[in-house]
Amino acid sequence: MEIIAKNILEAWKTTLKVIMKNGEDFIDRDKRVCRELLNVILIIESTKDIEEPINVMKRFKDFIYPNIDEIKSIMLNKIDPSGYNYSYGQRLFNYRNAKNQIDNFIYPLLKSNPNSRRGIAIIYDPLVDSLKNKKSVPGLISVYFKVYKSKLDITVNIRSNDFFIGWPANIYQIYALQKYLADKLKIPIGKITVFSDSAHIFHEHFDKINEILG
Amino acid sequence: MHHLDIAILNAFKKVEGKELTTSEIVRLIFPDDANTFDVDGADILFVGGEKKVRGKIRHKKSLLHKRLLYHLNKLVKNNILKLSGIEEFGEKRFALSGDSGEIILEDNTKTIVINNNLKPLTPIDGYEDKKIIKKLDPNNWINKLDSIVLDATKFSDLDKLYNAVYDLFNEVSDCIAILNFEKLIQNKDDTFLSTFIKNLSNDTKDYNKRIGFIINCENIYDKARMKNFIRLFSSDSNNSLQIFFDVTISAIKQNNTLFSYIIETFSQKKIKINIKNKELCKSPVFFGKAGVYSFDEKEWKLYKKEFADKTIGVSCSSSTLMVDIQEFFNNYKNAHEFREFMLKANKALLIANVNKRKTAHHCLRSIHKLNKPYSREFFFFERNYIRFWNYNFKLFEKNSFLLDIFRTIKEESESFFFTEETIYKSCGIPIRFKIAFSSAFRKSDLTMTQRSYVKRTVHNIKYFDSVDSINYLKTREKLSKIFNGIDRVRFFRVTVDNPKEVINEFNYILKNLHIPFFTYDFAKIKGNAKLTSFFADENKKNKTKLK
Repeated sequence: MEIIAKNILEAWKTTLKVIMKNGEDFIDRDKRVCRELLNVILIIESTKDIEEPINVMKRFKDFIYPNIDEIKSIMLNKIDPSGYNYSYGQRLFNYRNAKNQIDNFIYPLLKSNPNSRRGIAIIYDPLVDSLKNKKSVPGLISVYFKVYKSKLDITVNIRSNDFFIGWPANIYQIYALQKYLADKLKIPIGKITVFSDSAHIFHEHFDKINEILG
Repeated sequence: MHHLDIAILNAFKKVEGKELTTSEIVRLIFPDDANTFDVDGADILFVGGEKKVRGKIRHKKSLLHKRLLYHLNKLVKNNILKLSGIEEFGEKRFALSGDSGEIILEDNTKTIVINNNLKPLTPIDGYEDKKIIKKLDPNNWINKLDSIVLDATKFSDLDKLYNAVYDLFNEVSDCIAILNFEKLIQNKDDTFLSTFIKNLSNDTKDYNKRIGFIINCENIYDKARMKNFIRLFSSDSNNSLQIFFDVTISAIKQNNTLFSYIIETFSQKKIKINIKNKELCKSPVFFGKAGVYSFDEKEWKLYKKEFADKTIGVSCSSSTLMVDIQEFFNNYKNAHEFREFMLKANKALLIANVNKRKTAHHCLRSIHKLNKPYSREFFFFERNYIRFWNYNFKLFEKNSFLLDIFRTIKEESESFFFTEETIYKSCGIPIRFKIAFSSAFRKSDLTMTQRSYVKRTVHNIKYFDSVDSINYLKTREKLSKIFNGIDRVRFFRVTVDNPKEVINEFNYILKNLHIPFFTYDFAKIKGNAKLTSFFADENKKNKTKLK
């Protein structure tokens, strides 16, 4: 299923609607009823309203949504922070304490050859994550950068994507990374493409989702 | 980074989180120039009439302001400073951005750490003003851990252990427990044991910390050395040091003589004997000034299996809130308001955790250094504590619905923590956020209401047969099941004629009661309210309040 949206809010609401309508229900490991749609491709043309979904989530008062600082920092912080089971930033900028995939590979690669199709960074680490009983494994698997029509496009692969709770933060993180590299390359940001293997929502959030969808 | 950027940040460092106007920053950065801003003091530098001098001063001021404003705006743009207001004549006022904690700036060459002492806004601030809820060590609530456990076997000798403990005082608010201490003193040279205890005794007093030695009584094989430790402890320690004996009935039997010695010595010196029933609880249990600390049993099993070999220990408690139940019901009417308040307390703990994560890398440097490369794993099993003070056992005995209130509040708290953990994980922020309920110790904050429950004195084993005691102990058993942070039952025993009698009482408790952790206190009882007057008042109050 492919969805093309003009902006972030449209992308979010359209996908939520599609999952609501076409998703299949199942019970997950934590015994929560989940509605899931497989292999959703979401293409977003503009990120001007990038903070909007987070603002929407912050309006709900029965939980505390993470603040933008922390959402961004988990993606861009290069050090290995304690207090987290893993961090995207550490995996991107200091993979296995050995490789800065963004600053030392993709940046010089695209700087010297903007047409390159090798601008890929991996977050998933089989040696650490491929353990049967491991509870906390990254949802974001890989990131692919491409300079297209002089703008920096980003394509990400997310294995498990909670489209109500998680997506507003996930899309902000993807945007933050795209912006970071685009600024470094001194070119504007382009499209965001999100490939979700499992795009899902939980029954317990249906009321809130309907509230958002109006 | 430009030298003026650094100078501006240093100015904010000096004022510890306060706001500064542009003029104030100018004065801090260019003190020599600022001294010439007064007309009187400017005579030497500026020649001419007063009007002319004023004009020159204004010009110089404006140049310095302009020069700084470029850098101030740049720091605002980079989210390091924020514009916090505009003064009467349009002058800008700045503050460090971020809610609290430390702002860490990193570029390719250096790291600058600026402490922003603004405390995070939490939904319990109003309750704090009413003295209903307290933060443990409020000044360090977001940059220190409450308690940690160190594994003594990870240190080759007492000196190395002492150095680690000393370094960690900076990063722990309350208590450091030392696990497997019996192995260290039996296996290694114990020549300097007396110095070790004396030093810790002084340090804990100086720095207001607590140290707990956890002794697994099943591992005692060198009774002479253990006896020596007890002797030195009883003569060289103060009450900031505690021993926690992990026992089973058979372990007490095997160490009967040693226990007789412990009871005899400790009762004479009025030192508490703290006993954990290993049959009921395998994980370490100890207390600091805030109350009892423990771990989740299943998680402790996992720690032993997968992480114990990797780290030098494990973090036990991240943040603690203490709720004065009596003060709450002095101010509020019913259980519904109590539920709402507890939800706010949960949210406050979440905010504390968010801020702690921000600063952990810099504030907990020794922990990181000592656990490398497994510093992340050190935090895998910690919990946050909500501790209750001055809840009335007698009321619990008579009104079982009070236990239900606690039970459901705990369930609601756990559900809140689970939801938040899930939200954060879904957002790509894989955090741990767990909560434990336990009792508070008044020592942690003497502004809490005066103790209103009655302390229990054991004269002999018959104590456990009396109806009053049976009811009391049954309630404590029920509460201990609700308090997943483990509760402590304290028995006073003023005189000890024969240590064997006390051993029999220990055995009775271990065999017959579902109390995982208890203390025998040989101090003289102080601070009891008069039973009859207190309960008469309380019953009257609560009939109307807890609907």
